[in-house]
Amino acid sequence: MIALLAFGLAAGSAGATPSTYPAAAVVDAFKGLCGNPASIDAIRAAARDNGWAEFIPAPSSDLGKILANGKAMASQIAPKDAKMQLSAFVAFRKTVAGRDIEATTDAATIAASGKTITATGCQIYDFTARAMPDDGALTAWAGRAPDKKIDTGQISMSSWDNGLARPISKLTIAYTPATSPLADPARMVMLGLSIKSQQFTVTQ
Amino acid sequence: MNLRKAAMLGALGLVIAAPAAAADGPDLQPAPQATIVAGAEACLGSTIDPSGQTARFAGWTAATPDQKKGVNVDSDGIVVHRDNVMIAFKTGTDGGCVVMATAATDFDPATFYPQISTVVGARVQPAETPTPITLPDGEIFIPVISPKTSSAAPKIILVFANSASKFAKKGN
Repeated sequence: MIALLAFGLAAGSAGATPSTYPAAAVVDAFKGLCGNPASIDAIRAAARDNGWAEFIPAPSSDLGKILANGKAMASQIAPKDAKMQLSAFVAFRKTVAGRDIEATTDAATIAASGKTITATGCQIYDFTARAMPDDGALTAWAGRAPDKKIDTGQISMSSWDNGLARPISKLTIAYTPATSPLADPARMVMLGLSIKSQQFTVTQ
Repeated sequence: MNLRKAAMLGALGLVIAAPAAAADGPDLQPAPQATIVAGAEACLGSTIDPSGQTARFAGWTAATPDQKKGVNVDSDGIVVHRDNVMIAFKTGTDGGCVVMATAATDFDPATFYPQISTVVGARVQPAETPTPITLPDGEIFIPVISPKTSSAAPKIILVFANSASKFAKKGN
């Protein structure tokens, strides 16, 4: 609880309201890193080309907790499902319009029955965002209105599935307040603003 | 619900209609079409993308034991519900995701099939026999939709499985 309160104060001092949030600049940075999440190598190349720095987050940091959660999930799946691998938890960071933006990648691969199915994800975070920004910049890039919009109090999210005029299978922008169970420090999966692209591929 | 869906769901290794008590599966009240379609959207990617699970099922609530009556799920499977739509899912190669609902009076096949097609990224149309459809993400989709009759609302089961699963291999 103390940690939550401390984080809340920190977030409050660094936050930006929807009207002042530099959504266009953050979306531009997202496009530069996650515009074509074909593979972890492709994302690393995009990071080099667009000013993102790879780093190892401190375990106690917000990104460190999210990465730990992903790795824990991978270790849980491994003994149950030898054909599925969760891997490639790489972290990047960049300062965008004065805000500290961090990013992660993940990759799930299933190799069985003569085919390989891969889901590669690239996600940026602004942990100190204080509200869901306008999704207009992302909508313009996606080329159509979101397929789904939800606002439950625990999370606000807009998402696009399939048929995007981009090499992206799924696109999501979400805001998770620090009070959401999803931001519980013990098993944090989302916090603040996050934008994620995923590409699903099937090879025979 | 009757027919071969119990066998189909059993084949997924995910959800099995409980013996005797639930030849018809869980007792579900009429559900709006929009939520049924949202259920399909939540399921898409379940078997291949565990890291996206939180975002996919945002807005869905863990089912209570009472709500889960008539559904048996593997110990590592999860059951959620919203607006009388129930979803059981399990990640992984041999996992799957099943949307279960009884359609409300707003159900309209003329809009339902196009909406589902958009969500899953493949053409879905009415069929006499449940037919597996391969999806762009490597999953397979099997819609089981009983027709509306004068005395019964349509029962809807939407099954997602991984095309690399041992069950899919047997089916092929």
